[in-house]
Amino acid sequence: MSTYAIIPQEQWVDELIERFPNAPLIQNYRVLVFADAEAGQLKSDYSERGIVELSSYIEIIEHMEVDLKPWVILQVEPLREVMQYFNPPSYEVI
Amino acid sequence: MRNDLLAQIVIASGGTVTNKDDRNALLSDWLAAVESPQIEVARLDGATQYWQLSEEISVPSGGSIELDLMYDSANQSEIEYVLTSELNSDTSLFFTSKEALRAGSSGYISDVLVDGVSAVTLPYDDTFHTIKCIISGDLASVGILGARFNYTRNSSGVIKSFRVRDDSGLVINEIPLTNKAQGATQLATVGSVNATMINYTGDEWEPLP
Repeated sequence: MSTYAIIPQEQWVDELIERFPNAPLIQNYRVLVFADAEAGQLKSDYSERGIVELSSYIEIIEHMEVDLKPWVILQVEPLREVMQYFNPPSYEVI
Repeated sequence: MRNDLLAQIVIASGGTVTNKDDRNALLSDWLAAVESPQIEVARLDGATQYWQLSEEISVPSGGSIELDLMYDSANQSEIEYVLTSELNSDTSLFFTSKEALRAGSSGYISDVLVDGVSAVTLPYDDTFHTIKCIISGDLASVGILGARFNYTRNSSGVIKSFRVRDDSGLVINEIPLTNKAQGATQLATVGSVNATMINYTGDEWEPLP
Protein backbone atom coordinates (compact mmCIF):
# COMPACT_ATOMS: atom_id res chain seq x y z
CA MET A 1 0.00 0.00 0.00
CA SER A 2 1.04 3.57 -0.60
CA THR A 3 -0.15 6.89 0.75
CA TYR A 4 -1.30 9.80 -1.37
CA ALA A 5 -1.38 13.57 -1.03
CA ILE A 6 -3.39 16.01 -3.11
CA ILE A 7 -1.62 19.35 -3.12
CA PRO A 8 -2.17 22.68 -4.92
CA GLN A 9 -0.57 22.86 -8.37
CA GLU A 10 1.40 26.02 -7.52
CA GLN A 11 3.06 24.36 -4.51
CA TRP A 12 4.04 21.40 -6.67
CA VAL A 13 5.59 23.74 -9.23
CA ASP A 14 7.43 25.74 -6.57
CA GLU A 15 8.76 22.92 -4.40
CA LEU A 16 8.05 19.37 -5.43
CA ILE A 17 8.18 19.09 -9.19
CA GLU A 18 11.66 17.56 -9.14
CA ARG A 19 10.87 14.99 -6.47
CA PHE A 20 7.49 14.04 -7.99
CA PRO A 21 7.90 14.85 -11.70
CA ASN A 22 5.03 12.61 -12.83
CA ALA A 23 2.43 13.62 -10.26
CA PRO A 24 -0.94 13.41 -12.04
CA LEU A 25 -2.88 16.64 -12.50
CA ILE A 26 -6.49 16.85 -11.32
CA GLN A 27 -8.14 20.24 -11.68
CA ASN A 28 -5.65 22.62 -10.01
CA TYR A 29 -4.08 19.93 -7.87
CA ARG A 30 -1.35 17.35 -8.18
CA VAL A 31 -1.37 13.87 -6.69
CA LEU A 32 1.77 12.74 -4.91
CA VAL A 33 2.32 9.06 -4.15
CA PHE A 34 4.80 7.88 -1.56
CA ALA A 35 5.63 4.82 0.51
CA ASP A 36 3.66 4.40 3.72
CA ALA A 37 6.92 4.58 5.65
CA GLU A 38 7.52 8.10 4.27
CA ALA A 39 4.12 9.44 5.25
CA GLY A 40 5.10 10.62 8.72
CA GLN A 41 8.20 12.43 7.50
CA LEU A 42 6.35 14.10 4.64
CA LYS A 43 3.62 15.34 6.96
CA SER A 44 6.27 16.66 9.33
CA ASP A 45 8.25 18.37 6.57
CA TYR A 46 5.24 20.16 5.13
CA SER A 47 3.08 20.68 8.21
CA GLU A 48 3.17 24.46 7.76
CA ARG A 49 1.15 24.01 4.55
CA GLY A 50 -1.75 22.71 6.56
CA ILE A 51 -2.63 19.05 6.27
CA VAL A 52 -6.00 17.34 6.49
CA GLU A 53 -6.59 13.61 6.32
CA LEU A 54 -9.85 12.81 4.55
CA SER A 55 -11.36 9.44 3.79
CA SER A 56 -14.60 10.58 2.15
CA TYR A 57 -14.21 11.25 -1.56
CA ILE A 58 -17.16 13.65 -1.34
CA GLU A 59 -15.30 15.78 1.19
CA ILE A 60 -12.17 15.65 -0.94
CA ILE A 61 -14.06 16.79 -4.04
CA GLU A 62 -15.60 19.67 -2.05
CA HIS A 63 -12.13 20.63 -0.82
CA MET A 64 -10.88 20.77 -4.40
CA GLU A 65 -13.89 22.51 -5.88
CA VAL A 66 -13.64 25.42 -3.46
CA ASP A 67 -9.88 25.56 -4.06
CA LEU A 68 -8.73 25.03 -0.47
CA LYS A 69 -4.96 25.08 0.05
CA PRO A 70 -4.21 22.55 2.80
CA TRP A 71 -2.84 19.25 1.58
CA VAL A 72 -5.19 16.29 1.61
CA ILE A 73 -3.70 13.00 2.76
CA LEU A 74 -5.74 10.05 1.55
CA GLN A 75 -5.67 6.40 0.56
CA VAL A 76 -6.08 4.97 -2.90
CA GLU A 77 -9.78 4.03 -2.76
CA PRO A 78 -11.12 7.59 -2.34
CA LEU A 79 -8.46 8.80 -4.78
CA ARG A 80 -9.87 6.52 -7.48
CA GLU A 81 -13.34 7.93 -6.78
CA VAL A 82 -12.04 11.49 -7.04
CA MET A 83 -10.27 10.75 -10.34
CA GLN A 84 -13.41 9.08 -11.66
CA TYR A 85 -15.46 12.12 -10.68
CA PHE A 86 -13.24 14.52 -12.60
CA ASN A 87 -12.89 12.11 -15.55
CA PRO A 88 -16.33 10.49 -15.75
CA PRO A 89 -16.67 7.12 -17.51
CA SER A 90 -18.29 8.58 -20.62
CA TYR A 91 -15.25 10.75 -21.26
CA GLU A 92 -12.29 9.56 -23.35
CA VAL A 93 -12.86 5.84 -23.16
CA ILE A 94 -11.64 5.08 -26.66
CA MET B 1 30.83 -0.36 4.77
CA ARG B 2 28.78 -0.32 7.96
CA ASN B 3 26.75 -3.41 8.80
CA ASP B 4 23.50 -1.46 8.93
CA LEU B 5 24.06 -0.19 5.39
CA LEU B 6 24.89 -3.68 4.22
CA ALA B 7 21.69 -4.95 5.83
CA GLN B 8 19.72 -2.29 3.95
CA ILE B 9 21.31 -3.41 0.68
CA VAL B 10 20.34 -7.02 1.40
CA ILE B 11 16.72 -6.02 2.00
CA ALA B 12 16.64 -3.74 -1.03
CA SER B 13 17.91 -6.64 -3.11
CA GLY B 14 14.97 -8.72 -1.97
CA GLY B 15 17.01 -10.80 0.48
CA THR B 16 16.65 -11.69 4.14
CA VAL B 17 19.09 -10.63 6.86
CA THR B 18 20.10 -13.67 8.89
CA ASN B 19 22.40 -11.88 11.36
CA LYS B 20 22.74 -8.12 11.24
CA ASP B 21 25.91 -8.17 13.35
CA ASP B 22 27.84 -10.67 11.23
CA ARG B 23 29.48 -9.05 8.21
CA ASN B 24 30.20 -12.36 6.48
CA ALA B 25 26.62 -13.48 6.97
CA LEU B 26 25.41 -10.17 5.52
CA LEU B 27 27.61 -10.60 2.47
CA SER B 28 26.30 -14.13 2.07
CA ASP B 29 22.72 -12.85 2.38
CA TRP B 30 23.41 -10.25 -0.28
CA LEU B 31 24.94 -12.80 -2.67
CA ALA B 32 21.99 -15.13 -2.19
CA ALA B 33 19.57 -12.30 -2.96
CA VAL B 34 21.43 -11.27 -6.11
CA GLU B 35 21.89 -14.83 -7.38
CA SER B 36 18.29 -15.84 -6.71
CA PRO B 37 16.25 -12.72 -7.22
CA GLN B 38 12.99 -12.63 -5.33
CA ILE B 39 10.14 -13.18 -7.77
CA GLU B 40 7.21 -11.00 -6.90
CA VAL B 41 4.63 -9.03 -8.84
CA ALA B 42 3.86 -5.34 -8.63
CA ARG B 43 0.28 -4.25 -8.19
CA LEU B 44 -0.54 -1.01 -9.99
CA ASP B 45 -2.71 1.35 -7.94
CA GLY B 46 -5.20 2.13 -10.69
CA ALA B 47 -4.76 5.85 -10.11
CA THR B 48 -1.23 7.16 -10.55
CA GLN B 49 0.99 4.26 -11.58
CA TYR B 50 1.81 2.64 -14.90
CA TRP B 51 4.72 1.06 -16.77
CA GLN B 52 6.50 3.37 -19.20
CA LEU B 53 8.60 1.59 -21.81
CA SER B 54 12.03 3.09 -22.45
CA GLU B 55 11.05 3.48 -26.08
CA GLU B 56 7.92 2.86 -28.06
CA ILE B 57 7.92 -0.51 -29.81
CA SER B 58 6.60 -0.81 -33.36
CA VAL B 59 4.81 -4.10 -33.72
CA PRO B 60 4.87 -5.69 -37.18
CA SER B 61 1.74 -6.77 -39.00
CA GLY B 62 0.91 -10.34 -38.08
CA GLY B 63 2.83 -9.95 -34.86
CA SER B 64 1.37 -9.70 -31.39
CA ILE B 65 1.55 -7.93 -28.05
CA GLU B 66 1.21 -10.25 -25.06
CA LEU B 67 0.63 -9.61 -21.38
CA ASP B 68 0.17 -11.93 -18.43
CA LEU B 69 -2.46 -10.04 -16.47
CA MET B 70 -4.46 -10.71 -13.31
CA TYR B 71 -7.44 -8.97 -11.77
CA ASP B 72 -8.66 -9.82 -8.28
CA SER B 73 -12.16 -11.16 -7.89
CA ALA B 74 -12.72 -8.36 -5.36
CA ASN B 75 -11.71 -5.67 -7.84
CA GLN B 76 -14.68 -3.47 -8.70
CA SER B 77 -12.92 -1.24 -11.22
CA GLU B 78 -14.45 -0.83 -14.65
CA ILE B 79 -13.09 1.75 -17.09
CA GLU B 80 -9.39 0.96 -17.25
CA TYR B 81 -6.57 0.93 -19.78
CA VAL B 82 -4.25 -2.04 -20.13
CA LEU B 83 -1.93 -0.71 -22.85
CA THR B 84 -1.61 2.06 -25.43
CA SER B 85 0.75 3.64 -27.87
CA GLU B 86 2.33 6.88 -26.67
CA LEU B 87 0.49 9.57 -28.62
CA ASN B 88 -2.99 8.22 -29.13
CA SER B 89 -5.20 5.21 -28.48
CA ASP B 90 -4.99 3.76 -31.99
CA THR B 91 -3.16 0.80 -30.51
CA SER B 92 -4.98 0.24 -27.25
CA LEU B 93 -6.57 -2.35 -25.05
CA PHE B 94 -9.00 -1.26 -22.37
CA PHE B 95 -12.00 -2.23 -20.26
CA THR B 96 -15.35 -0.61 -21.02
CA SER B 97 -16.88 -2.20 -17.94
CA LYS B 98 -15.85 -4.86 -15.46
CA GLU B 99 -14.31 -7.78 -17.38
CA ALA B 100 -15.29 -6.31 -20.79
CA LEU B 101 -12.17 -5.94 -22.90
CA ARG B 102 -12.02 -3.88 -26.08
CA ALA B 103 -9.36 -2.83 -28.55
CA GLY B 104 -8.98 0.62 -30.10
CA SER B 105 -11.27 1.44 -33.03
CA SER B 106 -8.37 1.82 -35.49
CA GLY B 107 -8.31 -1.93 -36.03
CA TYR B 108 -4.57 -2.13 -35.42
CA ILE B 109 -5.44 -4.79 -32.86
CA SER B 110 -7.61 -7.05 -34.97
CA ASP B 111 -8.26 -9.76 -32.40
CA VAL B 112 -7.75 -10.37 -28.69
CA LEU B 113 -7.04 -13.84 -27.37
CA VAL B 114 -7.32 -14.74 -23.70
CA ASP B 115 -5.39 -17.91 -22.94
CA GLY B 116 -5.35 -18.71 -26.66
CA VAL B 117 -9.05 -18.21 -27.33
CA SER B 118 -10.64 -15.21 -29.03
CA ALA B 119 -12.41 -13.31 -26.24
CA VAL B 120 -14.07 -10.04 -25.28
CA THR B 121 -13.81 -10.53 -21.53
CA LEU B 122 -11.06 -11.00 -18.99
CA PRO B 123 -12.33 -12.74 -15.85
CA TYR B 124 -11.60 -11.03 -12.56
CA ASP B 125 -10.73 -14.31 -10.89
CA ASP B 126 -7.38 -13.99 -9.03
CA THR B 127 -5.65 -15.87 -11.84
CA PHE B 128 -3.09 -14.74 -14.39
CA HIS B 129 -4.35 -14.90 -17.95
CA THR B 130 -2.29 -14.45 -21.09
CA ILE B 131 -3.76 -11.73 -23.27
CA LYS B 132 -2.56 -11.76 -26.85
CA CYS B 133 -3.33 -8.80 -29.10
CA ILE B 134 -3.08 -9.76 -32.78
CA ILE B 135 -1.73 -6.90 -34.89
CA SER B 136 -2.90 -5.94 -38.38
CA GLY B 137 -1.14 -3.35 -40.54
CA ASP B 138 2.21 -1.71 -40.01
CA LEU B 139 1.19 1.20 -37.77
CA ALA B 140 0.76 -0.49 -34.40
CA SER B 141 2.99 0.49 -31.51
CA VAL B 142 3.03 0.18 -27.75
CA GLY B 143 4.73 2.46 -25.24
CA ILE B 144 2.65 2.36 -22.06
CA LEU B 145 1.30 -0.52 -19.98
CA GLY B 146 -1.40 0.11 -17.41
CA ALA B 147 -2.55 3.55 -18.52
CA ARG B 148 -4.06 5.54 -21.35
CA PHE B 149 -1.63 7.63 -23.40
CA ASN B 150 -2.71 10.84 -21.65
CA TYR B 151 -2.89 9.13 -18.23
CA THR B 152 -6.56 9.90 -17.59
CA ARG B 153 -7.17 6.16 -17.19
CA ASN B 154 -5.06 3.57 -15.42
CA SER B 155 -5.16 -0.09 -14.58
CA SER B 156 -5.43 -1.70 -11.17
CA GLY B 157 -4.42 -5.12 -12.44
CA VAL B 158 -1.17 -6.97 -11.95
CA ILE B 159 1.01 -7.41 -15.03
CA LYS B 160 3.50 -10.23 -14.65
CA SER B 161 5.23 -10.05 -18.02
CA PHE B 162 5.17 -8.34 -21.39
CA ARG B 163 6.18 -9.72 -24.79
CA VAL B 164 6.11 -8.68 -28.42
CA ARG B 165 6.30 -11.29 -31.18
CA ASP B 166 6.93 -10.86 -34.87
CA ASP B 167 4.77 -12.42 -37.58
CA SER B 168 6.58 -15.76 -37.26
CA GLY B 169 5.85 -15.93 -33.55
CA LEU B 170 9.42 -15.15 -32.53
CA VAL B 171 9.70 -13.13 -29.31
CA ILE B 172 11.44 -9.86 -30.20
CA ASN B 173 10.85 -8.04 -26.91
CA GLU B 174 10.29 -9.49 -23.47
CA ILE B 175 10.24 -7.84 -20.05
CA PRO B 176 9.44 -9.93 -16.95
CA LEU B 177 7.99 -7.48 -14.42
CA THR B 178 8.83 -9.67 -11.44
CA ASN B 179 12.31 -8.73 -10.24
CA LYS B 180 11.82 -6.87 -6.97
CA ALA B 181 15.56 -6.26 -6.64
CA GLN B 182 15.55 -4.22 -9.84
CA GLY B 183 13.03 -1.83 -8.33
CA ALA B 184 11.19 0.65 -10.53
CA THR B 185 12.99 -0.26 -13.76
CA GLN B 186 12.57 -3.83 -14.92
CA LEU B 187 15.11 -4.97 -17.46
CA ALA B 188 14.41 -6.71 -20.75
CA THR B 189 15.41 -10.32 -21.22
CA VAL B 190 14.83 -10.07 -24.98
CA GLY B 191 15.42 -6.83 -26.90
CA SER B 192 16.64 -3.58 -25.41
CA VAL B 193 13.42 -1.94 -24.23
CA ASN B 194 12.96 -1.79 -20.46
CA ALA B 195 9.94 -0.80 -18.39
CA THR B 196 9.87 1.76 -15.58
CA MET B 197 7.03 2.08 -13.12
CA ILE B 198 6.04 5.73 -12.87
CA ASN B 199 5.22 6.95 -9.35
CA TYR B 200 6.91 3.89 -7.90
CA THR B 201 7.25 3.76 -4.11
CA GLY B 202 8.48 0.21 -3.44
CA ASP B 203 5.24 -0.73 -1.66
CA GLU B 204 3.77 -2.33 -4.78
CA TRP B 205 5.38 -5.76 -4.55
CA GLU B 206 3.57 -8.85 -3.40
CA PRO B 207 4.27 -12.58 -3.66
CA LEU B 208 3.03 -14.44 -6.69
CA PRO B 209 -0.42 -15.85 -5.95
